[in-house]
Amino acid sequence: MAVKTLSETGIEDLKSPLFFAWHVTNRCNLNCIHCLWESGPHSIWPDELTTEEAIGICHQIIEQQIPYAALSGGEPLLWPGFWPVLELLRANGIDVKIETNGQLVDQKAAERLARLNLRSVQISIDGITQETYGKMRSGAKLERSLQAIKHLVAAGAVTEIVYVPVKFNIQEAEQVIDWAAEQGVRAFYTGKTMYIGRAVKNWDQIGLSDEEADDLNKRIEAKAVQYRDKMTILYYPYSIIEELVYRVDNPAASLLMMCNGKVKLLGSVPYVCGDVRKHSLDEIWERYKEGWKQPEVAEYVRAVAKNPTLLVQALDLIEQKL
Amino acid sequence: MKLGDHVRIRHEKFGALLFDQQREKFFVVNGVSKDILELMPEAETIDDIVAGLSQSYDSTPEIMKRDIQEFVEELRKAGLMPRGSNGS
Repeated sequence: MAVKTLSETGIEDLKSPLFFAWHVTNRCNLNCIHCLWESGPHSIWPDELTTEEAIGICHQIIEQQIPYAALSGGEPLLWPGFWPVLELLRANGIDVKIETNGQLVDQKAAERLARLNLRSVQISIDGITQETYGKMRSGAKLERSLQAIKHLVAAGAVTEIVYVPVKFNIQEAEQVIDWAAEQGVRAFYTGKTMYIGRAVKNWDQIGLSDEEADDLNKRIEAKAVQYRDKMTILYYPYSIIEELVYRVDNPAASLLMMCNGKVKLLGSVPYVCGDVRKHSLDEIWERYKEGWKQPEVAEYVRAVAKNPTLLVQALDLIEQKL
Repeated sequence: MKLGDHVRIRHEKFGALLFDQQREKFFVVNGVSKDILELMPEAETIDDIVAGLSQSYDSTPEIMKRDIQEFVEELRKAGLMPRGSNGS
């Protein structure tokens, strides 16, 4: 009568996923140098789901008892369905995390988010100076995002920072941690920048050497010790390739739905196992499990492990024959 | 006797899934364990759970009691049940 962890049992027998990652829009108010999805002010997809369709997805999430969802983008607060979806999910007990650049989170929005008692609001801060932050996130004002964090913490929302490390910002990471700890931020997450999307095109400006990455990891670990009673500080040490190689044999119990309703096996894999406009989430969960077993997936992973530049294909949406 | 407030249960064909919302960790248990979990909120002691289970399972009360105690201990070790919750 043992209590087992999911890593011991796998996902095969689960009736539905445990996590629903929802890329709600590809539209963004910024144009970040590293953006995984190549989002931007003019990057909205023509076939993005309507709010009405999104509400229908929410009802399936609730019905299937998927316990945890994340809304990201693009910038999720720009999406017309953001508040109705968020409020519906929370009213039905689904844990939700949102990932935002914070530029649109004023006091009123922060208080509204705090009232929803979210799992967390993750804000991207990748520098402590406007010069660095603005270089990373074209068009962004650092002060706005810092203010957003202050509003969120003051309103009682669980607030976390995500820091994307690149060549020109790694010396500011510790200062961001110190600032975050002072504000009452709950967690600081960082890790290897993903070699995908716009990051590929700008890799010569942003890619860290192994030595730089190791050095950053050590400095982050030291900060984690310093603030161990105050804030969670985590350096995710795996590269996108390492994660892929692991996932091909150990698929996560999660679905990643793009803003047009197509469900990918993983962000770094081009294969689409389902489409909410054609399939129920129940069907998609079964298709997802089958999708990972298809030979093209293992072949793709082998190929990108040998030649990471092939990851440029990751943003394609290739429908699997299932 | 109950699980921590941060733990949610989802029924599955094989038993149940336990979601620790604080640590974002998932655990799985089998069908008998799921039945025990369902009896817990109304039970004050392990004997109450034994009484509930005896209607569905063909085992001696002694064996059931031992198995339930072991299960409760595992839940505690996994951080799913507070230490103070009555498991005696």
